[in-house]
Amino acid sequence: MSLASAVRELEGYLEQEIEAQRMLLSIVAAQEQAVLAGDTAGVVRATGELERELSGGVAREKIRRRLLDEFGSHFTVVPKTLTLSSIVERLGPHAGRIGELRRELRGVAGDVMRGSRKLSSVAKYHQGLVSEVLSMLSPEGGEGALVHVEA
Amino acid sequence: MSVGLGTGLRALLAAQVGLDTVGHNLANANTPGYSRQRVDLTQAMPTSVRGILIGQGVDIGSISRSVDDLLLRRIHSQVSVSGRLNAQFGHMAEVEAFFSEPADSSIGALMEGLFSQVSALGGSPNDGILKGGVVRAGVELAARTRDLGSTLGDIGGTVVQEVKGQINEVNRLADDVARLNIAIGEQLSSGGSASDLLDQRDRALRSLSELVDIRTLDGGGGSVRVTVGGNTIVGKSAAYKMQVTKDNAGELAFQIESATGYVSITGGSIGGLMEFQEGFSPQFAEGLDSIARNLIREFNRAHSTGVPASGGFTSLHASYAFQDADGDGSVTDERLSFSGLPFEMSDGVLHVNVSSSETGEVVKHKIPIDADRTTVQDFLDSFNEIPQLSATVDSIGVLQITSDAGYKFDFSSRLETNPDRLQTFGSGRASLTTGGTGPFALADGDTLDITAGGSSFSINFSSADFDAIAEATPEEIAAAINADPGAQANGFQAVTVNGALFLQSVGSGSGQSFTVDGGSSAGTLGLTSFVGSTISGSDNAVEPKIGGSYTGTGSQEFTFVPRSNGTIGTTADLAVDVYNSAGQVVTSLDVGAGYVPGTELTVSEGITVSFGLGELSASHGDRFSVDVTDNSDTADVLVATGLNAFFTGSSASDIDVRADLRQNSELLATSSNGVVGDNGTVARMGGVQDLQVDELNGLSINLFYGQVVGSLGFEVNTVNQALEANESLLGSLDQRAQSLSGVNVDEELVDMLEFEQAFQTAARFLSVVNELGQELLNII
Repeated sequence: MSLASAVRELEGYLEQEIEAQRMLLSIVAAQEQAVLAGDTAGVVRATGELERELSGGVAREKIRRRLLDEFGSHFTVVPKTLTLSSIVERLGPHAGRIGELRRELRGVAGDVMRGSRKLSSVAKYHQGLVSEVLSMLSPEGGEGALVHVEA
Repeated sequence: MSVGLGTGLRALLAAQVGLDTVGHNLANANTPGYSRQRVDLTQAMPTSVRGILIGQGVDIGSISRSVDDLLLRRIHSQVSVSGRLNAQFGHMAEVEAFFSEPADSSIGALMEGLFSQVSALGGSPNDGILKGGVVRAGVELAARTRDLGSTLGDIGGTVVQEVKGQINEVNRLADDVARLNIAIGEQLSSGGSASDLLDQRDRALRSLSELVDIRTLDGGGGSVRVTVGGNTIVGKSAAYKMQVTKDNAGELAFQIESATGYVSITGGSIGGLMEFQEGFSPQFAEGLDSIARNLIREFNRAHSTGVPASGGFTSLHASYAFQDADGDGSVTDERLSFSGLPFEMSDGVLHVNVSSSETGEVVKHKIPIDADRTTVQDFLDSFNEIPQLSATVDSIGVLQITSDAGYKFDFSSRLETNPDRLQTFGSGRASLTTGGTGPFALADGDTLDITAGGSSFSINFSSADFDAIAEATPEEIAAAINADPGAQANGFQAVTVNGALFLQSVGSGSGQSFTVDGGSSAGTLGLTSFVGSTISGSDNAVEPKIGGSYTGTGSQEFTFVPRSNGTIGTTADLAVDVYNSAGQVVTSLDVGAGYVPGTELTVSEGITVSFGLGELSASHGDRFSVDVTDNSDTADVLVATGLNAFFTGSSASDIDVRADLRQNSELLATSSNGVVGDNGTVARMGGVQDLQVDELNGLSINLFYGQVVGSLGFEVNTVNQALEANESLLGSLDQRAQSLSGVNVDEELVDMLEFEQAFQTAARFLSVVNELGQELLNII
């Protein structure tokens, strides 16, 4: 594969990844709203969408690894040491839209990370509180309506 | 970064508040009146960063209660109804218990007991033990009636106290609502949640509804305005005191400060108590009073004309005192109808019998009563005109009647033993009737010339002796003759019998005689055919005797008139015609040859007559009359004054058996004719049980009592049923409110479990997102 082809393919991958991250961001936002609203069904629904979106990420990861291997052989460096920033730098004027797409991806991915961390913390916090309340209210090994509901 | 941190904090706060609310709901799951709360989340206002609007996550919009205001108002209304019915039912059941039907101590059982004792006495009217039984039964019945009457009064007093206590509670709750109005307004204006305060106020309003019928109106700013009977008791921030007072009629009434007029309370327990106090309680108190009053009157009506075993009274005092109605310091000028007696008198006649203890002779007297005109003094005068009797009224207005030594009196319908007391029927006196019953058209100065006692004298009629001499009555003429000195000096007199004027010798025997010599009045008096005739007395006197007991109804006057002249038991076909009050011949008695003097002959309606040996003269107008009656007190004088009463008092609160009768049951009157062994009065007392009484809607006392007790049971049952129905309705409304506002612990826990599971899953995926994102950022 020529370097020009690899650059074009990397641009395509970055566009896909940006799109995917935007999707994740919207799912996380919906998830957050569902959690805060106590909308269990909304939380479950968003989690399902998250699961589906993450399964698509596996295919993109393969593409990314293959492209990094390609650029590694062109630049005769170990692929694992490559970053998008170093690729843009090495390509110089031949980097095309990679630099621009990289910045965009970094922004979106950062938002996803922050959103998911925050949401993760809220969810864990919620869970902790709920567990605490449940352990306080539900009889130890006892029977009752709650047991029936769990069953 | 600060934007993201703020968003996270808001989210955490929102979650915290949400969970706090769930915990608050769970903690108050069993708190009465608690309404489930929920957190209403809203999207936080976005913030602008370099012209780009960035979302700020979530904010707590409000914490609201799950309530339905219309349903709450409905519940308040039903609570008010329940309060009313509950208060009524409590006291009504109490009254029902006091009547204690069908226990032995109930009025009904004791009334049965009294009449049962009377019935037993009817079989042996002289039995002292049975008389004691009647008196004791009367005492027990009176005592129980008084107890019940006073208990009804006590309940009334208790209710008043209860109402006063509940008004204090109304004022306390009104203060609470006003205080909560202020607190809720402050909370809302500061943007906080007032859910718990609203719940508190709802509970206060519900408690208030239990006491009075309230209306709640939105007062603005989260406040409610509360009105009772259209008057504000709680405004936006202040309560107005309700006070218990009395209206112009002296009835319990309510006022709210700063409002004019009285407040009508028709609901809640106070409304119920008022309804009991003003409706139910007086209704049954009046019913009991009616029973007592009519029992007293009817029993006394039967007893007062009776004669005790002693044969009469030597002294009697009334149970009730005449009142000085016009306040002039004297009771004697009061007219009987307006003399303050507890029972009414009517126009009629009181029969008074005076009997000689020595001879047994009974003389009947009649006192006519015109209730609206006869004064107490007139009444006393009438008594005092009766020989051997005297009547006085003491300083407190109590009438007392006393007989002279050797005489007794009574008011029975007994028959006069010597009906020819004036000796105008075959007596030993020389006797001659004038023509007709008048009035006679005499003129001033008319004379009647008589020879009697060996002297001739002329009786002068002066117009001064007559109301209208041209219409002179036999009574006026008799009085004029008897006042004449010549007549007095020569054993000559005049009497009236059955409306006819008789001229008589005072003495008896064949040696007695008088001659009508003439005079200007002889023609007017119908004596023309007797002028010059000498009327002689006789050594034998017929002396008719009346026997038997009158079995007819009403009053009757039987007049006995010989159809011809002749000698009893000797003259053939000698007969005596008997006329009734209508002038009809009811029978003709054969007293001629074959009649054995002294033999009783049946007259009519239980009355018999016997005649002694003597001469009758139809020509001289011989006659005598007998008054018979089934009611010797048609004016109810005895009932009204309480003379010879069985019961005293006039209502449930003061009914009792006459004091001297309680101490000596031999004073109980049993005979209606003075004959020992007669049970006429006992029978009349027994008849009171089934007597239909006008004042009791034509029912007997027993039936009326049954109606009162039945009505009591019916009303208690009706209220109880209404209460049960209302409680059921209220329960249903409460259930609806509970389903809306109540906390279901299971639901809350299930919600939380689902939260937990969802969070767990979400957190797991978010971790993956984090890992992948980190990996992605590493290569960027």
